[in-house]
Amino acid sequence: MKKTLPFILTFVSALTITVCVFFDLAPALVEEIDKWFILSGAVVCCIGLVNLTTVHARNIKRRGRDWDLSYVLLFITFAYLVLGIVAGPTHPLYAWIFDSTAVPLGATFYSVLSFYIVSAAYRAFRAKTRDAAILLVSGIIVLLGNAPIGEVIYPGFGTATKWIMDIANTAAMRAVIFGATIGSFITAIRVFLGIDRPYTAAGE
Amino acid sequence: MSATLQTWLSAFFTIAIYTLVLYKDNKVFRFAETVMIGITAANGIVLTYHNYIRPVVAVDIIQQGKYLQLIPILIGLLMYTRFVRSIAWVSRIPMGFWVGVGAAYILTRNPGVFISQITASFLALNKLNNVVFVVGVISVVVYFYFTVPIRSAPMKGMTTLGKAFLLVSFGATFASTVMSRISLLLGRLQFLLQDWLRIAGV
Repeated sequence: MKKTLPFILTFVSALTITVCVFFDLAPALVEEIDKWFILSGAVVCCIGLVNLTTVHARNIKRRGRDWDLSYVLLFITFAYLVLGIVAGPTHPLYAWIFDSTAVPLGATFYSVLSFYIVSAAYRAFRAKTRDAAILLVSGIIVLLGNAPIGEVIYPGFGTATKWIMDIANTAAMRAVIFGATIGSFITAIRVFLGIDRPYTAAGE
Repeated sequence: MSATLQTWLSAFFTIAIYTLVLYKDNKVFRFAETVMIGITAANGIVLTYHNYIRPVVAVDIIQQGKYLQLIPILIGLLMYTRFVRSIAWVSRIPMGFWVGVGAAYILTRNPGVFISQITASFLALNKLNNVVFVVGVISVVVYFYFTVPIRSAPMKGMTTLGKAFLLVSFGATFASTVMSRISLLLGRLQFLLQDWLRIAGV
């Protein structure tokens, strides 16, 4: 029951869509299952909130590290959630809070990576081996080709960057996509036939 | 609400995050981090509720009486059983549904895109760039061929060439990431100097 029922659901849903799409049958049914897929996924949106609340409530109870911030987190999350549910995401106050906090914080968090990426670049780009030298040359050409100073130093950097991005990079990424797609086909067939049952670990 | 207050709040949060790299891990940084987590978590739920759940419940189910739409809602709700240990296995039911639909999507909808990508990759060999492109694709595919050990010299040469193509691609991707992060950093510095402190001209 615990393993068979989910497999039956997997098999039936996969078989229904596959047969309907391949044989062009009942497009309305496929559309309805599409809707169900999206809607059932949307309903799960609060699972992270339940986890977040559980973890931080436990932290407050145990007076763990930064337990005061756990209070702040729960207050901000639920206050903003209630405001959003009641007033809607287009409400001026809701948008104002988002623009004052999440927008600058998001941009700053990503920009902080530039500090770390420089040290990572120092380690990765030391041309001690042939492979590292290829990385170094390709990286420097693309960096200089995208920066205004690159064209001043040597006008060919722009053309070289375009060639690397359009030919070498696209060829490599296309081949990677081929591998990933074939892998996803094989995984889908294994799931379809019940050889792989990734969902059986849920709730263990 | 005041635009000045918004600017000051944005400046505070920007500086709070930079204290991590300019000083060390500290309470102000963790406060900013907490605000970020709280706001984005709530925003995700609010957007999902208003874009997907509310229209179905308010329009489809209540107004139009499409009670079949209750089934996916129930399927989704079953996922919450994983918080109750005795019935946690029930959460496998929605997982089974999603995995099945996902597998069917891959089998039915990916081939079209995949075949067109293969066709687009094998260009006419009438230009040097096209030859390099086709050789690049084939050599990287050969590099990822693990079914049998590669022993022959030509195949080893192909894998070496494939690895070189991958390294060029990784270098280019890394450089593009550096550029985008530095652009963001410049944007934040521009905001602090121009919009907040007003000490640098536009």
